Amino acid sequence: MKIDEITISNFRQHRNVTAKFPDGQKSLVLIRGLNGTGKTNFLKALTWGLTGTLGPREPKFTPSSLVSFSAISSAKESGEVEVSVEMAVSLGLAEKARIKRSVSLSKKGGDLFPNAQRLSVLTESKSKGWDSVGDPDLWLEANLPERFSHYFLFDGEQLENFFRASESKFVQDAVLQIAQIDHLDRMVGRLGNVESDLTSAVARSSRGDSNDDLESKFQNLEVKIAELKSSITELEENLVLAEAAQIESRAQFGEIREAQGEIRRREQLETDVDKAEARMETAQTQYFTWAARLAPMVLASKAIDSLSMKIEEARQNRELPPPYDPNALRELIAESKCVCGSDLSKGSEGRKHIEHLIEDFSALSERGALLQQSERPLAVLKTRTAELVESAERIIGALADAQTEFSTKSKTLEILRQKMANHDDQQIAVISQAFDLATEAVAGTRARIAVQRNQLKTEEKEKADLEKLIDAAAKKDSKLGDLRTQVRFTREIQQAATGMLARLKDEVRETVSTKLNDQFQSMIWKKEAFRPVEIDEDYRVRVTNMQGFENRSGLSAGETACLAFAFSLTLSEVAGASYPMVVDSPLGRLSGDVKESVSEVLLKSLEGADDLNSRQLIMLMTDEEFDDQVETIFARQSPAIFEIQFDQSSSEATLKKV
Amino acid sequence: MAKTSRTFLEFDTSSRELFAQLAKSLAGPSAETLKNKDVFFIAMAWGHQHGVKAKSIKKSGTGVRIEYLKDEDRALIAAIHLAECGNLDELLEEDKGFELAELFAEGGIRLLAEEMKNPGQFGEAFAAEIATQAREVAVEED
Repeated sequence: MKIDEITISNFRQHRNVTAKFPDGQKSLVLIRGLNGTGKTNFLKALTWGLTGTLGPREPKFTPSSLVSFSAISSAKESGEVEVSVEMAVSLGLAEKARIKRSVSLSKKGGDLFPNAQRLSVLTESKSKGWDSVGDPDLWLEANLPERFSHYFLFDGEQLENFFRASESKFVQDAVLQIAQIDHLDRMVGRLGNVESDLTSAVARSSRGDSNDDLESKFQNLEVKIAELKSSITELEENLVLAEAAQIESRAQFGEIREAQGEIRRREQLETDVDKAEARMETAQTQYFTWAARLAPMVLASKAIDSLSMKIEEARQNRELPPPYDPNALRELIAESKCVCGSDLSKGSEGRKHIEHLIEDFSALSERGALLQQSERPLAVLKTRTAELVESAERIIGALADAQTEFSTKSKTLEILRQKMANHDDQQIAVISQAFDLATEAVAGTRARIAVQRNQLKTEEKEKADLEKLIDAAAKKDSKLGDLRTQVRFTREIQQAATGMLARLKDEVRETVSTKLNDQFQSMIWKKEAFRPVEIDEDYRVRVTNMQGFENRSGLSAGETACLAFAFSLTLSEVAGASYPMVVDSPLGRLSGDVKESVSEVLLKSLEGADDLNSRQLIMLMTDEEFDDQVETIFARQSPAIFEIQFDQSSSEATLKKV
Repeated sequence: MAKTSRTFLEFDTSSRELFAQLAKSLAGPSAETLKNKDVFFIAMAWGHQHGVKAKSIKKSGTGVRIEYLKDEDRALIAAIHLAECGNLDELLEEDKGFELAELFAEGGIRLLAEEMKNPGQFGEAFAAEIATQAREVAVEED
């Protein structure tokens, strides 16, 4: 199939765009434009026109999301807007077709409501001229199956998704459909249904006391098995979507991983800073408390020393109270006798001396008592002062350490905060949560699939056992001989067909594998770096290095591009049909020599292509991709070159041939 | 010594807020405020060291309960009293010692009020001053 002309109406920014590919220039079409001019939506329009979908990047969409803003604005209230994509295509030498897909929407209250969606296909033949095909969906499916479409209509910057694990189902379906083994697959399935029906008939016919419920059991099992298979298929489809979502969120998560690490580091630092601040405050409080306790003693230290000296003087001058209590001396006088026996009667020398002592020491003892009273507390003050003075360096040092720690950590935190100034914590949290949810969804779906597969195995075994019981019951009834024979025969055919199918699938897989390897090896420049590329039993495309290790994720951007293009071309070759390859930004991720090499590869894939055969490559590129070197390479194929531009004022794209 | 009949070492009425402010400033970031006794003695010692005492105070009726004074506190007041009057016999008049303490406390708090006009730095500056004087005391004793 080759596209001759495309007309797009009201599809996003393509309000009214027509690209007619001139004769002699249809094999290679280059559409160049700046970012945001509508190249990707041009691809999506084409994809929607051919398949009714927008490709794997936009699996779900509403009809109103297709409509261009300018069409919505200019539509009257209660008026209609029609979005349409129309293509003129050539199929081989003589056959042509016109494909038109459209959807009309009504504008009410500022909103759009879809009406009918239409698909029409007109084919031209020499005898009949233009004629409408009866089933346009079937015609399109036959000429460009939707499941192939994303190997021929794709975004060159998403090539790593081409071969993700979840694609294996697509690869399997694509490979089997190409070889038309899918029909055989369905036939084997139908044989199984016939066998089940016959077994039910046997069970029904051999009804007896012990066999009454055999038929209903068998039918219940069939229903259960069918439900399980349907559920598993649905879960597998959900798994594909879940894995796609996981890959997308993983890509975003990869970008934020570093930011997440920084957020964790920042949070840890914030905790450390808070702790350091608390330690600093504690050290400061200890310092202040120490100063408050010490202050009166240090400030009055001279006064304390002075009083201490006075006490010392008094001690030396014997002004401190004598060892005798004046009251004890008064008692001696009252007794008129000293403890030593001396006479202390009135007028005696001894009595005069003691009375003199009482008088002097009474006065002295009051002052001395005060001094004595102050002696111990002053000693306590001095000891306390000495202890506090001694602890000064320790307390001041602890505060200095705490302040240094706080200052250092605060500075580190500030630097990190400045580095993260443009981060949006909330968005990062949302992306992280999305990744976790996506991962959970994938794991959950896989677990459910595993559980249901086990259940299916159990039910199928039970069915096999029940078939034996039914057969054993039927043996007893000679009238059921024919039916039993049919069941046996059908079962044997089904088993043989299943075996043949498995062998055929392997053969096809190996054939596609070999051709894929041939294509890929013809494209790459480091041929000695890889063992033969293959499609394994799980229908995953495997690239192995010479050491025997899986290396697909290690391919360079150029090698991945080559592998993707090789796969597309292989499918075309095996199918014996050509599909137009339309690629958005095929060289977007490449630079320098690699870009030129891949350009040469793409050009080589068109070798011998002309208007008479169906090989066609349409590429949408930015000006950066379509540099002078690339232009020189592609010029050898005399491409049709178009320029796409976007008018800000009207929000519309235009397409002009250069 | 004549037993005192006084109940409080009193703040001047107009200085109560200043004592409260001093109590908060010297408490440290993670502690409650200092007690009345602590700030009274700090102000008293500050006023004594700087030789500044009030001529008189207008008693506020609040301050430090004399019954809560320990022997070391009384000894400190006595030391300041002796340093001021130079006469041991004067020490027997404990009430005069208390009065002197109040006058020095009032003088000291007025001086400190000026320093407290920079509340953010006052605590640090005060502690640093005490640390410096403590080092000098340590050197003298060595």
